[in-house]
Amino acid sequence: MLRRLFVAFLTTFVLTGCNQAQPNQAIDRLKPCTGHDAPVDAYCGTVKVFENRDTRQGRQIDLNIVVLPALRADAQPDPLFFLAGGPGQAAAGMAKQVRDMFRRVQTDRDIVLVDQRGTGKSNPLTCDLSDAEDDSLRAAMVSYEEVLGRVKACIDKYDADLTQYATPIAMDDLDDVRAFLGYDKINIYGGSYGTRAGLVYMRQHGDRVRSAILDGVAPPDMRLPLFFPKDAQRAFDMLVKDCESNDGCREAYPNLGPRMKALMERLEKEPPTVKITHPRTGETANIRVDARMLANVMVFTLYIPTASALVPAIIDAADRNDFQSMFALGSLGDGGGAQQMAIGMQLSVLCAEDAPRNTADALAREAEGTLFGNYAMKLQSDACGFWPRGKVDPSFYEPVTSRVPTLVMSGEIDPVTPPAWGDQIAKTLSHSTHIVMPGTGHTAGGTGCGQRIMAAFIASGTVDGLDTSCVSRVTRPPFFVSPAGPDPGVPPASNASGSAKAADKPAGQAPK
Amino acid sequence: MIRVTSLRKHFGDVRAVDGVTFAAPDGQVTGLLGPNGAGKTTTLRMLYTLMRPDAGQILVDGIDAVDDPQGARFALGVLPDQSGLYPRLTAREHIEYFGELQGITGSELRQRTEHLLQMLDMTAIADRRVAGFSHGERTKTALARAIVHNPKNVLLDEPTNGLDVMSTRAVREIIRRLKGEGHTVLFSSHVMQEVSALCDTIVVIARGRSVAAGTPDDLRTQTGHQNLEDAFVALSGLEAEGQPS
Amino acid sequence: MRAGSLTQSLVVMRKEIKDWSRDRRSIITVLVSSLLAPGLIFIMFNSMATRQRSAEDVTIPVVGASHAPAFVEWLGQQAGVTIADGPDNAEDAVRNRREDVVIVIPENFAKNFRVSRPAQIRLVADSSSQNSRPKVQRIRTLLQRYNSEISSLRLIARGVSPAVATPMQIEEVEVSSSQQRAATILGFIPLFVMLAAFTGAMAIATDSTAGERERGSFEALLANPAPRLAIASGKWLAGTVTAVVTVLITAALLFSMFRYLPLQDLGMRFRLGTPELIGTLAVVVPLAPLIVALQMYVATFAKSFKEAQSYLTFLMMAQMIPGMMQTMNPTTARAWWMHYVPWIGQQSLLTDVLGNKPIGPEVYAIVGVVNLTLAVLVVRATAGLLHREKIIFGR
Repeated sequence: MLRRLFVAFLTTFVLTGCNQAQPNQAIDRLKPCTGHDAPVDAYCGTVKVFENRDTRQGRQIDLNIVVLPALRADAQPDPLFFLAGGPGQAAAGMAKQVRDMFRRVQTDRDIVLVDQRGTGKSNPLTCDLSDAEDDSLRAAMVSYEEVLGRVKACIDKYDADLTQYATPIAMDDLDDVRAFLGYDKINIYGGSYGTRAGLVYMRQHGDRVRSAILDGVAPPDMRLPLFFPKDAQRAFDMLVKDCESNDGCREAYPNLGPRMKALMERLEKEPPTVKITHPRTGETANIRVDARMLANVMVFTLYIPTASALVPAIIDAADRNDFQSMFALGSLGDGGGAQQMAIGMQLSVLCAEDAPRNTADALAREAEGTLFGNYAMKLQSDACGFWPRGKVDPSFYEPVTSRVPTLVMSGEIDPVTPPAWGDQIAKTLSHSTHIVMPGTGHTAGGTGCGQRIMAAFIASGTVDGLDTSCVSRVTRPPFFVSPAGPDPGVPPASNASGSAKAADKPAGQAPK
Repeated sequence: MIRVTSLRKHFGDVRAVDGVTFAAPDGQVTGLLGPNGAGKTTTLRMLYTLMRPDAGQILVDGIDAVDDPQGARFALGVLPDQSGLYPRLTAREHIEYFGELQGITGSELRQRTEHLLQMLDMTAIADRRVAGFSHGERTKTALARAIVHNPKNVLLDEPTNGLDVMSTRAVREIIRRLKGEGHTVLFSSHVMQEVSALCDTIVVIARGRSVAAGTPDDLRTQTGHQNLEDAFVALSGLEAEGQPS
Repeated sequence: MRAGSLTQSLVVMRKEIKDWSRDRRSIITVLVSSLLAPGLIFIMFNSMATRQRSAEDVTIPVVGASHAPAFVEWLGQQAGVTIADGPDNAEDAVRNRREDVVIVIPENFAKNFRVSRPAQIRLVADSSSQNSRPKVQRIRTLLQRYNSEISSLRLIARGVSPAVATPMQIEEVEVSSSQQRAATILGFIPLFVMLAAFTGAMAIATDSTAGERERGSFEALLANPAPRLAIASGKWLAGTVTAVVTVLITAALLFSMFRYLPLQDLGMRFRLGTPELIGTLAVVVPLAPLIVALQMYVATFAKSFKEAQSYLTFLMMAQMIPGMMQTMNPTTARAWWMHYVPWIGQQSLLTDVLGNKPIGPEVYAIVGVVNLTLAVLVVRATAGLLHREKIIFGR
């Protein structure tokens, strides 16, 4: 009896031990990444596509692929494809951030990063707008004309047909990658421009999509940069309002809105020349500070609420002709490590998809009466005047209709893809929900709350019953009211511009 | 036929066997008689080659057991002093195990085992595990496995030690049958009656030496004692008195 | 004659296995000990994963939250963080394990913060508590993040680039695969599999040597014309069979159980499939005969079953030393010959096998030859012992 048990025991376990053969996996088609800049434990590979997908002749592009394999042995068959923003950012180059952002998702699923054609290592169309090696303050003073000239010069150095880099083509590439990796269905996350890419993929290959997250929505019919001046103005106005509704900020920096307006006008009329210490090298020089510099720093800063905490202080200083901290804020990105945007690819996308529908009149009309209208993405509008333009079908601009479960997210104070766009696309996405993250800037998925919601959504594959309760607790980071930081003794205005929330504030903290 | 000449064996300072000489002829039962500690067991152990003598010669059917122990073992069936069994095996399995080790297989092994089981009156207990066996059943099992290969010479170390009357009778019967079949039977005992009842030749061993050998009558004559027991005491006692104190 | 002794050794082997298979106790030992290792590992990893998860969704008790509401608000917005009221006596609460960790914000926090003086904040933790470690680590990381966020903004507010405060950008380049790193953490698996070989053979190794001696069956057995080497090798073969069977069961159990380990929750990506199972067996199975041979050699000196068992316990500890050394002091640079030293080689080879590092077939072949050769030498030595009168009769 005991012996029979023993034999049964043995055979059962030896058999189950051998039955673990796994189905073919995507990473079997790739190799472990090598090189010092490769993400840890990732798999790398390429897929060849024709640059011209119609003629299927001539130049070919090796699409660079990085897969962060699922940790779980019995992983889900449908991966998460990460679609980068920009346009011009390289998904594969963001592997580390993506891994952090989707740690919980990677537990169950592969995460696939593909450098869209023209970005990263997929025939990158980069273009240096300034001399990255120039560490002098003069680099800050490059004229607009010179920058535009640099863009023009880039066209000739590419080995590429610049009309072949628009989104619909790139999304057919993406489906080639999906097929190559052997996935039947995929989940997608698109952030910023990635939302447009995602929507186009859903239109062209909707049957392949299990679920989609569209974060910071820039739909195909957005007509960038037509509405950017007004959207940026909205974000700035909200900042001013939030400062005013906060005792500490209002007292430290009263009258912020009018002062900013006056400041911009002054810089436009008579740009002062002031002594500036290079924020990084410590070199000093006299710099002529014009409105374009301030506008560029402001618009860039509005994307990131944490940095926006400094905006009132910086305006206040600039108003007193002290531009040192403005320069420091502008230098935020130059600490190294930030990856380069492929400007050439960006222009190929925008000039084919957005520019044809923008007239000079319309652009001027929308910029009218805004602080940054003359500067926001002016370069892109102007460059499309000479950039080789691809063509997209008129149907490209139609709303994307889909039944794919879709989580739409927007940052409440986003200066470039405000919640209105999310509302718009959600109308034709029958199984979607739109979450507006309070006090949050460009894209909301990176917040702690956003990460949780996204992980839960991808796990369940439906917006039904999605727990979004953490959203109400998110607030704008408190403003710096002194060089030491925000007032540590006062909780931040709990909901940036939220009217309902204001009532919830503890007694004594209410605006006077 | 076993012939032993001037066998000696010492353990440290103790001379366990100090000059044993005797012969056990074919078809006869030879008894090694002596008090406990006289050197009987050591003598037998040298005979069945598990101990190597310091000096002397052992011939088993003419084979020198010191030079060719393996050859000698083929000609021997041994029931040692310590004749432990494997509690989880049956009596039959014990017999077959030793049979196989002797190179007996197949139907020959089966027949031989069956024969022994019948001869020893063990058929009823043949397929029971020996864990529950009585002392007599154990001895029978050990005896059966010792002679499974039908050896010419059979060595039995105190075969009836601790057995009840019935079992002792059975063992005696076996010894007689072995003799009848022409085997050379050599057994040791410290019990006079046993030896006198069975043996053709008695070898008296005391203090490691063979002090007398012969038929029971020879011994009686030799010592002048009519009673064999008195003869035995005299033989071993003489030695004791002869020792310097 | 040679063929004869082979037959005889097979006869001995058959008998010993039959004898062993009727021993309820030894069978249960094999079953229990092969269940024990997977069971232990399962419990261990699940509790580790629970701890890890408790760090992801963490409730942080804060004492003096009203002294730094802005910071507490920030903390509460981080992923998975819930703020709770802290206990009256933070130190006591943590010492008595009522709380894993408590943040204490002193009254003067705001005063110092406002003038850019480092404001003190206390992280009360018990680093002797395994349970709270991931949680404390998580909170420490959060505090550091707040520190770097505020310090960057402070520098900008003063017109200095935050890059200035990062003289070096430290980039760690990982050259091992996750499978290899996990294999190091799971370095005790080889130990368990080798242990299985040991426990599997123990019954026969003791019963067929010291056991025979204690029972008094040795004499009768050795009075048979079978050569000592045939007897010793028969017993050795029997022990090897049971050792290998136990290794098979243990390895199969371990491998099937691995699918149910929450390794992914520990951030580990680890696959164990048929190739790894085969590789593990290819490495450990050749060691089994050597283990058995040594066990028998040692047990042959023992006068009783009990004595043999205590000798073997020492032997077992001795064989665990290389594995423990490797776990405590893992050396990555290895000399080529270390693969072929029994135990050390098994440990290092198994780390490679589980780490999916390719191993050439010649390595397996050499390991097999080396181990078998050594085993045969030890068996010969054991057979030699069976000639000794002290071993046969000594009690």
